[in-house]
Amino acid sequence: MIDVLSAASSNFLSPTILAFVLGALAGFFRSDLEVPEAITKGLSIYLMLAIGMKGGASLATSGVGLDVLPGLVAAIVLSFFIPLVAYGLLKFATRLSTVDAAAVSAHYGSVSIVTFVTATQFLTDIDVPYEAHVIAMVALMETPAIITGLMLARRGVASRAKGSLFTPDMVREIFFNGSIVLLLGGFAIGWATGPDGMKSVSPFFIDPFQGVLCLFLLDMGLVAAHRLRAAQSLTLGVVAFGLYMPLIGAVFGAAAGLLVGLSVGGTILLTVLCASASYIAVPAAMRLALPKADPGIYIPLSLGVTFPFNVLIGIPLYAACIDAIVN
Amino acid sequence: MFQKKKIEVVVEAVYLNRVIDAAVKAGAKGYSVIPHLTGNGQHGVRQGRGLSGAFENAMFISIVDKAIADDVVKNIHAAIGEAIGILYMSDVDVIRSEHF
Repeated sequence: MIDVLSAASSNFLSPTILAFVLGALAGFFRSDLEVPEAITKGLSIYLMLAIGMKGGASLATSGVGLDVLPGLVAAIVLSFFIPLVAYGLLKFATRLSTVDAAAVSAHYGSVSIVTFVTATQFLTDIDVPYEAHVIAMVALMETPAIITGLMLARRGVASRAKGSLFTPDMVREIFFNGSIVLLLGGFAIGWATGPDGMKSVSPFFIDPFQGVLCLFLLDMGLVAAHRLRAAQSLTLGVVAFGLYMPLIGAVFGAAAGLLVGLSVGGTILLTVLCASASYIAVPAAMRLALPKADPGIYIPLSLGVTFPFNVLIGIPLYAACIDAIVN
Repeated sequence: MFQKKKIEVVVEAVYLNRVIDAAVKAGAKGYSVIPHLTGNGQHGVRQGRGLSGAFENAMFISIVDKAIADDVVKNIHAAIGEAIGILYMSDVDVIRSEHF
């Protein structure tokens, strides 16, 4: 049984979360602290490859059967579906244009891999296991939301002006972006080489993982604060959406996780995925496909509002609620 | 010295490949790219932080023969569409004419 208060305090007092808070404070107080962008990119490559390999090696140990299919299908369906809910709420509760609402909704149907990685670290810290194939669900949930978002955006365009939904560089961006390649590639490497392969790289990919996550979250704190300070297009209604939409997404994720028979750990991770919003793959795709959508709305919202909410409050909250339901 | 046209484009990083394709298709024989530009303009501070590239600019530079310069500019303009960008052209003198 996960106690919500002890889970929240152990989450808040973990080095990774405190590093995020440090970065955010440094950003708000305009410190000259800066993590060079090349290092941030390097750290993100490390984290995604490491989490992919760990998942693949774990699947090699546990074996794979048809029982993983419902979870994978649920992930795809959720990613298609959540933007519809987000779009409806945005059109109802805010004054965002059709194209801005569609772009924002795509972000909330897709996933934040860093939030996911933080959640896996949280589960490791409190000794809650989870299914290996959840890693594959992360990769599957990146793209469908982009398709839904683009289709929603086309509602506001005259039929004559509707061009092709996907240009070649769009297809490259959404199906072969770096995070999908690293997650699925790492997963395949981990699966092919199994526990022995993982053992051979564990001094690099397992032991320093939490330290690297600390450094990465330090930078995420800086960037989140920077984006929030620079955000001038965010209205109160839009900021509120960034706080209640994760909770709505979490309900869908938890329900789906329990419905398809995931473990408590797996359900918590699917819930975190549904509650999170993308700020790496989807913004790039939206700039290419919807240049009229304002990145000053969707990036500060997902990175400056929803990401901190999920990392600081959401993850332990979802974990405690799911644990309470199951037990 | 030989007179040529220098085409420079400051464009959001995610559009860089489109700009390159457009220039090469119109006959540009070569180009240079300066990645990770920072600056401030009509769209506020452009600074490539946050991994997505959505707030990041890059610069494309190509020196081309006068005969194809307008076509290159037109192609790049079409490729940029409504993206954030600045496109300009200037006269330059080069030593090795056959390279451009």
